[in-house]
Amino acid sequence: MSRLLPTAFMLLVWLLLWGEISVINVASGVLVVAILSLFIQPTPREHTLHPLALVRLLGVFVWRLLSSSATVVLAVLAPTPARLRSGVVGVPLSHPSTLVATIVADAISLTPGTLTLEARYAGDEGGGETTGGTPPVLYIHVLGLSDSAAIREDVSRLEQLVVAAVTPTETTGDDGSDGRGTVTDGAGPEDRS
Amino acid sequence: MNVIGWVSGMMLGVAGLLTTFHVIRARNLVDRAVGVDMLVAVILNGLAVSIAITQDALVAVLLLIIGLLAFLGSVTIARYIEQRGP
Amino acid sequence: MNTVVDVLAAVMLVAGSALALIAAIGLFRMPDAYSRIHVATKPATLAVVFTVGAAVLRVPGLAPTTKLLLAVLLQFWTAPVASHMLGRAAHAAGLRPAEPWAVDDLQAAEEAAGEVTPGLDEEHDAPTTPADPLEPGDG
Repeated sequence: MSRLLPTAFMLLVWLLLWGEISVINVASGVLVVAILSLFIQPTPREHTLHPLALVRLLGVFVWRLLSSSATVVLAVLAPTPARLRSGVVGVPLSHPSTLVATIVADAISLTPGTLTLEARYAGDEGGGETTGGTPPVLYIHVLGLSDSAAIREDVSRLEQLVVAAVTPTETTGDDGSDGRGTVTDGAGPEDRS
Repeated sequence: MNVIGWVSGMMLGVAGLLTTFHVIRARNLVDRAVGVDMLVAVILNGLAVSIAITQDALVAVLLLIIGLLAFLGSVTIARYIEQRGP
Repeated sequence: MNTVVDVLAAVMLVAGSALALIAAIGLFRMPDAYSRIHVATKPATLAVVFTVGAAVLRVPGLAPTTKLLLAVLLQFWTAPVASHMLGRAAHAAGLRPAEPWAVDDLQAAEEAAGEVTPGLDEEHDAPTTPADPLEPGDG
């Protein structure tokens, strides 16, 4: 049953590709999707979906996309040293969920001006696969960098929106209360907790 | 509408020429990969402009196919850069 | 150019093409590779959204519209992933801009974790090899 969401999505894509909802399309779609779903590994459902918050998140995406495209256009047409100033800022997230981190990193990479370069977990030798339950730290390359703290606050706000849309259901160890306000500049992940 | 088509086409053509020049002039692999990705985006734009002007969506599947293949290519080049260096 | 929809489609077409042109210009004006990733991939994606939106407005019928919408969704899904992977690969391979970054938290984290980055501090050079075979005037 945890394969239901990907298979329904695949069926929707199949129907969209064929362009019309007819009996033969749905039947062939169900057949193809049923064969493909044998190759999907079931993923445990660790997140609950809130549709209204999801819609709000999409709206925020679109707004960020449009507004930061304007910023990039300005940076290209009228480059000043302040607009071209770039740096890599480390932003610690406050939830250990990888889905939330992925969506946040994706949203950051979508908007012009910020690009997710790396994600590391605290106390990791680099490239480790296990999360260990600690929240990851996203390293974001920012174009037009004014202030590290502003970037961190922006990402924290984005993460709150994402968590409101796709909340992780585990309730172990509440670290959401002390994580967000205590970032120190230039310290990286070693100063957390 | 034809005027709009000409204007858009010329802008995209200039963008394509600039990008091609950048791909030739690039001195490392990352720049070339970015330039090729940009070229594919210009091609997608051109296809969409032709669909809009001629009102004939015959080439709509090309958008999907080219987009998918370009994504695969970008990701492959990226993994190659990670191993080999720029 | 007789209805509101046509005018809107025309505006979107011109906006998308202009964005693509600005992205191509940006490839030349940005000083380092990471800025070029920013400027070349993302406005180009937005330009595709605009032009495909204009196409959706102009084409009659439902079947092509769904294909075009799928194409836009595909761009939205794949463009950030591709640009992230390029940036990550460039950073892992050691590419650094010619003038160093204002803030560099990743460098501090890498040094704390004990990783060594290869010596690629010039942005426009390949890894420094002693003999460059394309160099004219070398035996």
